[in-house]
Amino acid sequence: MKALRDVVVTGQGWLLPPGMTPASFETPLASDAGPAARQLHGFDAAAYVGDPKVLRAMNRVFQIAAAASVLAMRPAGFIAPADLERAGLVPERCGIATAMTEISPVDANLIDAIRDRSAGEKFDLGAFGESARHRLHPFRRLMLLANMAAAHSSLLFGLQGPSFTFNSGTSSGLQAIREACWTIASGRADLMLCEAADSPQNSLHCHPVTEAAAALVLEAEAVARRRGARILACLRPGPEQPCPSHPRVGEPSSEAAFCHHAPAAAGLLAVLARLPDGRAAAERQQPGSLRETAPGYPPEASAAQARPAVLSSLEIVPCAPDPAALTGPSAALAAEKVGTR
Amino acid sequence: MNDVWITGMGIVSPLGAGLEAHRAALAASQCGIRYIHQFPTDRFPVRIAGEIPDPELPHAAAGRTSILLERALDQAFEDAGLDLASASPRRALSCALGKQTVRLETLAAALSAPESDPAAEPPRWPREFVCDWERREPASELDRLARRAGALGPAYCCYTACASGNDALGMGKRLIERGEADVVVAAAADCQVNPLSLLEFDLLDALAQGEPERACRPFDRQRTGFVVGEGAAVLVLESAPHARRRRARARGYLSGYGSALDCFGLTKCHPQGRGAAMAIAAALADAGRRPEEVGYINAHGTGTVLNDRAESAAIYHVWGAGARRLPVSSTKSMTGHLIAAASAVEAVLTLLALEMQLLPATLNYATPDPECDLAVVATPRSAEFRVAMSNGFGFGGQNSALVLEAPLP
Repeated sequence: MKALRDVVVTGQGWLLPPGMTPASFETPLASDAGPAARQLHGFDAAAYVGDPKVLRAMNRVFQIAAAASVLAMRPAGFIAPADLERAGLVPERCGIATAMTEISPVDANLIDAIRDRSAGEKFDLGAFGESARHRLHPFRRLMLLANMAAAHSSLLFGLQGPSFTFNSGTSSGLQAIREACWTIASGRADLMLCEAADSPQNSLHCHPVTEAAAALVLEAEAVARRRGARILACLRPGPEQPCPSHPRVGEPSSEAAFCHHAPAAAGLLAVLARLPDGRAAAERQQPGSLRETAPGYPPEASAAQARPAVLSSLEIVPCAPDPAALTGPSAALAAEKVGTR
Repeated sequence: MNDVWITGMGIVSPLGAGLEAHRAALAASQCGIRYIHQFPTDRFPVRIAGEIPDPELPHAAAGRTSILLERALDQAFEDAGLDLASASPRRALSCALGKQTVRLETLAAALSAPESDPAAEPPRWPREFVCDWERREPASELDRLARRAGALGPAYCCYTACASGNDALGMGKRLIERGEADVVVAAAADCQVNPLSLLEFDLLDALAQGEPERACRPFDRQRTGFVVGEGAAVLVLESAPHARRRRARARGYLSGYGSALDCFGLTKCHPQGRGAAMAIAAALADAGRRPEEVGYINAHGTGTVLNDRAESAAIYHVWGAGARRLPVSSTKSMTGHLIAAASAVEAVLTLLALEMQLLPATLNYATPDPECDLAVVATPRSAEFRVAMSNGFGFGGQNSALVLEAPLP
């Protein structure tokens, strides 16, 4: 069997309601917390996606997914599509793994169209069909497809490699990361952007949904070192654990998902919580959701950093910040980063 | 390259239910596209579809997908000689499920309910309305299917628009290659023949209209768009040692899978089929096959002007002048476009074509298009081929391709 390549994290980004961190995301909100505590405030999509035409084609959940991706890709050295090649990467070997929940078609556009056709009378499908062309947004279909988040990120960063979007509920985020890891480890890609988002504006759930987005940039270790990227952690995907739906409760990703009802983002946030920056509120982290692994890999990992962890068969080994990193061609680009968290 | 066996198949499509019905349909070039019967269409802009003519089936928002999946799953397990009553942590599930929809009449009623306030934060809806939606979410369907299939291993659900079926099969292939499962139930289902989804496709100006049997004409110069279809397919993937140990019969091998992005636009595919060509090349590399070893392509072939042109360019990019001799057909001309289930259904049809040594027809292909200068199969004919390709390309520039092979004698 072909030797597997090592996979590292070179970028991380997230958007969470005020006061939350990836680590605190696994802690339930106070029972008296109102809907405002679950929502992003003051989010300005235009700060991340400059083209107003593109923004109009994005619903809220795509906007926050794209923003998290921008936050992760910029410090990794990627701002515009041309940056991949400038950093010595081949766009065809750079892909995307996305986690999304099912996007509800019940949006303001459809609600208005229905109300116009059924106010005070029985709904008439024929009349609705006749008038649909004048009432429904022509591209509404494209705003409802879960994989369009990947399409937007592909265009933002010039990614042309493999692409998978998972909508497996609370397992989606970790599945996206695992498949991205395997895609790199097996040599099918050199870089994979992992992204995920949840928004109450685009979902229908019996419970309140917390608005959240997260992104990770994964690279083959040799490629990242060659271009002088800052390495945040090493990831090793192990065999997937048996994971039928119900035993998912008790998995870290599920704890997060059940605490906040953000099923897609929970998996990525669970990984981010195990990285140094994500541990800002580590003292609030729920114990018992990590299984420790043998320490000492890689050698520079120290007790001062986040601890190695196994998360649903994904081994995460945070690395010491390397002051000598970012001396390669990516350094100048990373210096241009703006607004990261 | 023969590490992943396909040992069982189940299919429900507008052409019928079961492998035998589909063998007959391929041989006779039947068309499953017909006038819609589920709802009155006299004032509706879309009147034709690849609809499954079963009046007992519920609306897409009320369990239609679940029923089709169950039917295909039961067929596939019987075909594979597997016991549905048994369960195993070494059995995984890799699914592609169609975009969830709502029944417009139900939404109108929910909006009139006194407790509704969609403008509130968070929006307020009648509980039953939201619970119905949650019950039909892909994650819930995945759970139901995992239980029915006895799949206690990993359970994946991926959505990559019209490429979803190929990606579900590709993910299943990877799970077996990595040793994470002995058996993967790869399933796909989609029921977009419902008013809201049809209206949304119509708004994109992507649908063909007219006489049902004549509307869909992939690669033909007079083509005007695709016709939406519905259905489900389940393929049982198995590691070669596991299949040999239980003396299973191989229906074929899934030897190659490749995925790539167009990175071109949100609504249009890359005019030169850049991502499609990369996905095809990646699938061939994964299978360890050279382009000239492929004897047949079941094309994505939707029947839209741009898609067929881009796919032709992609095939030329990979095969060069050899593209003129390589038989290509689009079985969407028979089934309609099953969207998320399309490429899984087409994988089954491709495997049947390999078994029958038959090149399926592209219905309504009459006038060649110079911009799709391919060896399009207009009428079914016998041929000797062991390696075939099945393409699936989707909105957002998603592209994936499979290499499927006939079992060794």
